[in-house]
Amino acid sequence: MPLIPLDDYLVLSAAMFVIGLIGFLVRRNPLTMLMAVELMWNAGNLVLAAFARNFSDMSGQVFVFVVITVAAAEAAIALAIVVMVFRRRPDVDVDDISVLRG
Amino acid sequence: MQLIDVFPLVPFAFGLLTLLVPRGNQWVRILPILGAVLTLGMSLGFAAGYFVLGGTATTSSIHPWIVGPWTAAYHVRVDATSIWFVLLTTFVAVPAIWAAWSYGDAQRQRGFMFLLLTFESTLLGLFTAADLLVFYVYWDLMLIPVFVLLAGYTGSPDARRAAWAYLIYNGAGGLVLLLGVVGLVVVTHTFEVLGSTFAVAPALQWWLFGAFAIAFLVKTPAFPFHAWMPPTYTHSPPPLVAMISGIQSKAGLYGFIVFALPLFPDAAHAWAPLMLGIALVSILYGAFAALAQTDMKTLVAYTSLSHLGLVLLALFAFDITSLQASVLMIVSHGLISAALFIMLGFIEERVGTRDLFAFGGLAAKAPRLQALMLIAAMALLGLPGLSGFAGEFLILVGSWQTQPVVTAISLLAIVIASVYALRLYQAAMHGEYRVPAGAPAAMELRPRELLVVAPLLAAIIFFGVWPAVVTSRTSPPIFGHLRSYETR
Amino acid sequence: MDAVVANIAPQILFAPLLGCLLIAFVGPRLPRSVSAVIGCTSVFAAFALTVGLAAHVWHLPVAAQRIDLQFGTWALVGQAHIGFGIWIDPLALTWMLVITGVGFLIHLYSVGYMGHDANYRTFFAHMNLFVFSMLLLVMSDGFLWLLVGWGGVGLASYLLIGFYYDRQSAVLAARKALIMNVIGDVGIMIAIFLMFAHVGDQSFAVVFARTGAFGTSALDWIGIWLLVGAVAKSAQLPLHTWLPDAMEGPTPVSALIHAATMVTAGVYLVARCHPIYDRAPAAAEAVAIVGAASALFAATIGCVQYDIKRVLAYSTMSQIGYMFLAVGIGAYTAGAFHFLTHAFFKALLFMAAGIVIHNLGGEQDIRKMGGLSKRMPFAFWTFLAGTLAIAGVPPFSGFFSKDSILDQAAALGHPWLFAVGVAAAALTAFYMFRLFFSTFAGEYRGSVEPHVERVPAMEIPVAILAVLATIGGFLVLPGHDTFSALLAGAFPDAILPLSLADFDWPLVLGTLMIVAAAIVTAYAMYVISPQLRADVSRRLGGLRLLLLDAYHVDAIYHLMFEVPAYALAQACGVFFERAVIAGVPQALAAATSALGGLSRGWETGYLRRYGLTIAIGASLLLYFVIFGLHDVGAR
Repeated sequence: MPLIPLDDYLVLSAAMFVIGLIGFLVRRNPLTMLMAVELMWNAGNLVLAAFARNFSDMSGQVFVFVVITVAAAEAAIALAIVVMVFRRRPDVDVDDISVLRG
Repeated sequence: MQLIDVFPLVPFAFGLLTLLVPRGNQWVRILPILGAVLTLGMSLGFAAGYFVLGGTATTSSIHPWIVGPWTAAYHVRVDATSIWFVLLTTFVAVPAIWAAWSYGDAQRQRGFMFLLLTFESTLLGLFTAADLLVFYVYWDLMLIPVFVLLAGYTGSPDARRAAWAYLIYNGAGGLVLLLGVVGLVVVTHTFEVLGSTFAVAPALQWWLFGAFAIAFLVKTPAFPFHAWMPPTYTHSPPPLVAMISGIQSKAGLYGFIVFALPLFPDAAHAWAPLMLGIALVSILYGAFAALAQTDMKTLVAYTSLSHLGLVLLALFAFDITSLQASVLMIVSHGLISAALFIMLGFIEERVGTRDLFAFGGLAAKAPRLQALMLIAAMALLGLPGLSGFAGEFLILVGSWQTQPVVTAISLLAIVIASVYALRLYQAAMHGEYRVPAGAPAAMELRPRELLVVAPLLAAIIFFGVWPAVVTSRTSPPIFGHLRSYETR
Repeated sequence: MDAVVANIAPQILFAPLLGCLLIAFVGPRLPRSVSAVIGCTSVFAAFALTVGLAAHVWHLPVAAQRIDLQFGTWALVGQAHIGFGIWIDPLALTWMLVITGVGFLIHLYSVGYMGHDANYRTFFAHMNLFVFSMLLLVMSDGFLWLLVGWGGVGLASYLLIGFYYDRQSAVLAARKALIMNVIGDVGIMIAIFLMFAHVGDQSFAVVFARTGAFGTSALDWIGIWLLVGAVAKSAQLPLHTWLPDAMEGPTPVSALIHAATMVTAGVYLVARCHPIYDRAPAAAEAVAIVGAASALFAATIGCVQYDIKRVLAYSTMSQIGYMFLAVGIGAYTAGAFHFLTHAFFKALLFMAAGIVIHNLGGEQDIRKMGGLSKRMPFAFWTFLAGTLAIAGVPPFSGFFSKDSILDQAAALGHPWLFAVGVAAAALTAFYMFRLFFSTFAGEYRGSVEPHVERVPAMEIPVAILAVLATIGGFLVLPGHDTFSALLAGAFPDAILPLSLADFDWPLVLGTLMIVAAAIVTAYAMYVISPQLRADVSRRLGGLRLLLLDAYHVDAIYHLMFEVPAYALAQACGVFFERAVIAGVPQALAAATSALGGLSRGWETGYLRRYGLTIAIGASLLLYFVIFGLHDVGAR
């Protein structure tokens, strides 16, 4: 099975990251923004996994698992906050909640 | 485990016990007094033990604490210098805590008492600490009870601002002291610095002494560092301010006598001109500033600046007589300012104001209050025969020998002292009887209040008539310090 | 150590203190008369013991009449030992006899005079405190305890001047007296510092024995600083302004403290320090000049004042000026003698004036008196005795003592001081008879009919003093100088001859004629011809106003010291405090928060802008990591 060259992974990862970044910057819906963040996160994960494979060092893959765990926890908290915000104001726009006040 | 190991913590323990008492129970008042009296008794015991037997295992105890490149120990002791600070603390704490019966509503009296007792513990810890690390820990711990009492138990915005000023100034001073302590320990590799001499390079000595001195001057306070003092003294409840000005203000001077001067003798000499300048400006500035005040507590606050400036003059005149007398002056000032602040508290409680122009003529209704105020005012003024005079006179006798010009100029403050002391006393007591509307008719001291202040005034008279009690018993360690100057 | 002295002397000292404490602590629980009894008894006990002690000491040989008793240590500091001791010698005994003797008479007088006062007990407690402090002052064997007594009498004087504390004028007068006395205390303190600097001690025994160790210049300085203390306490120029105001106190206080005893403490101090002044010619000269100037200065003011007590106050200042003149030229016994006779006649004058004031319901203005000789014959006769004594009319006591001083001034070669003394004597005679005639001669000018009340407790002491003021001068008669013989033990090493007995008759007669002329002038102006008085007043015009305001000294001091001091106080305590001491930290805090304000704009709260910032930052970071910082610099 021919190896996919490292460069391909990196290009894919960069593309994913830039898409995520642009999504984060231009969208106003917190849920969409959250998804964009996840995309950037996974771009990073992909790089970690690719390098681990390339250099045959499994610690990179271990790190990916750590990141996934943390990301899950983070997503849970973020979603909880978003849900709370939705309860208060149905049509939510992050620019409207620029002040840390209930 | 020696008794002296736990001695500084006795008031704190009583404070904790007080917290356990149900709210409003009479033991909330009795327990703190018991604790303070017990501590006083213990300190008298240590004093007797020390002066009869000399330094023994009873009056000094050391337990290794940190072993390694930097050694530290839990080392507590009383000696001929520190015992006077300990005695002053325990002696002033009793009337202060007793006076606190009138302050703090029933809901919060437990916390009030707890914090006062904690404050006493930190002061005792400071004065018994022979290890620089222990000293430093207590130096900063001291801030907590005062800040909480001032910010949380007075309820006025002014007091809250004063609490922040107190915390920021003294906290910053503490940081500078920490720098100095660390800088010293880097050289010595131990916090056990008392009684040893270390070869510290003169340039480093100069910086380290500066760090210690700034912290000590802020705490005293001396001239340019005193911005926290007038608001703190003015807005503190009387028992607290009696302890701050009566005891805590001596912590910096104690630091000079016990740590800074013996550790850095060369630097002390190098800094002496500046320190004498600070002392002289404090003496005169405090006296004149006091003259301009209309708030009676602020007035007394500024007199502290003036009188403690005199102690500073004594320390940096490098004369044996002055150094010995400085301890007397410290004790005397503690007694006088505690008595004054407690009595001003009684007056404020009655007339409801601190403004000297808003009331007067209390003598007509309160002859006893007037008599006690008279003694305190005369002591403040430096009337010969009272302790204030004994301290001032002996300091000046000594400092005249080495610093005649500075001493001569500082004498002006004695004349000004007579003006502000009389202003305070006469404005409150003399003239036509007048109090603000709504003041109660009964102005005379109640028996409890009389008993609260009487021991302080008795001590003022006692030390004025017989100062040898103090001066003859502070000689050994201070002489030692001076010898180290003179041999240079 | 002399056992008799060691036993009696402390009892003399502590009897009045015990009385004071008893009145203060036990008195309030007992009837008020008990306090008076305690007060009088304790002072009388001290007097009786002093008489016994004096009899004992004066029977000792002259060389043994100086007794120094050591009791203990006040403070042991450095190499210095400051003890507590009692020093008895004829000089101290003279003062002790007057303090306790005249003090007792005045206590007795006060029983009647203060009878209606609400603070009767307090009065006696303070008077006893005064007697104790004054005894401490004259019995101390060193400067330190002298200073303690010095401060104590200052306190007692303060308390008694401000006795009517609801009167603002009394409060201010008391404050002024104490502040001026503190200036004097500082003077003595400096003198003590100088003693420590030179001989490391403050006890009379050491300091006087080692005057050789000082050098003349140091002795002069010590003498000058002691003089500052003496001047403040004795109300001499330039620290005299408190004494006239001190008349706010009750009349017995004026008699005891501000006439007979406390204000003469300065004279005592100079006489006590004669080993210093004998070897400090400049300081001694300063004492004499201050005394002469004060004598003349006060006498001129006394000529125009209208308040009976103020006239007496200025006359006190003037008479003490004589004593300063005497001790300044080295005529210590003459000064002490004038102190003794002055204590008699001035206490007498004040107490007789007190009877007048008492009967007139507190009136002190002589313009509202007059013609009282028939209404109050007792006051008339006793006041007359006092007036004749102070004016120096033989054979009354003042004649002998004042003449001794003038004689000595002439004999010791001080013609100018002598001339000033004679001028002051003439003025004294004039203003005292002016006062006497205004009060007792002519018609009664007051509006309220005097309510004459004869109180034996007041009249007996006055009568005794009248007798003493009349015959007290006979201690010095031509050819028989009993007084100097009594005092010889106090001045064993005095340089100058002490005898007061060689009267220089031409000078005496000349002085007497001038005094007589002054009395006749007063009679002419105040009894015979009111027209003459009006003419003189009009002629003098501005000078009279100047004298009425006591040369404007109060106003000058107010402008020179009070105003700048309070301005400086405001500058320090209000302006500098707010602008610098509180201002600088506040400025620091403001600067910090301004710095914060600069970066605060970044914190918009817009989540997406934070994201953009992070992205830009991360990109820049990445760029620098990849291409390096130095490249940026190189381009």
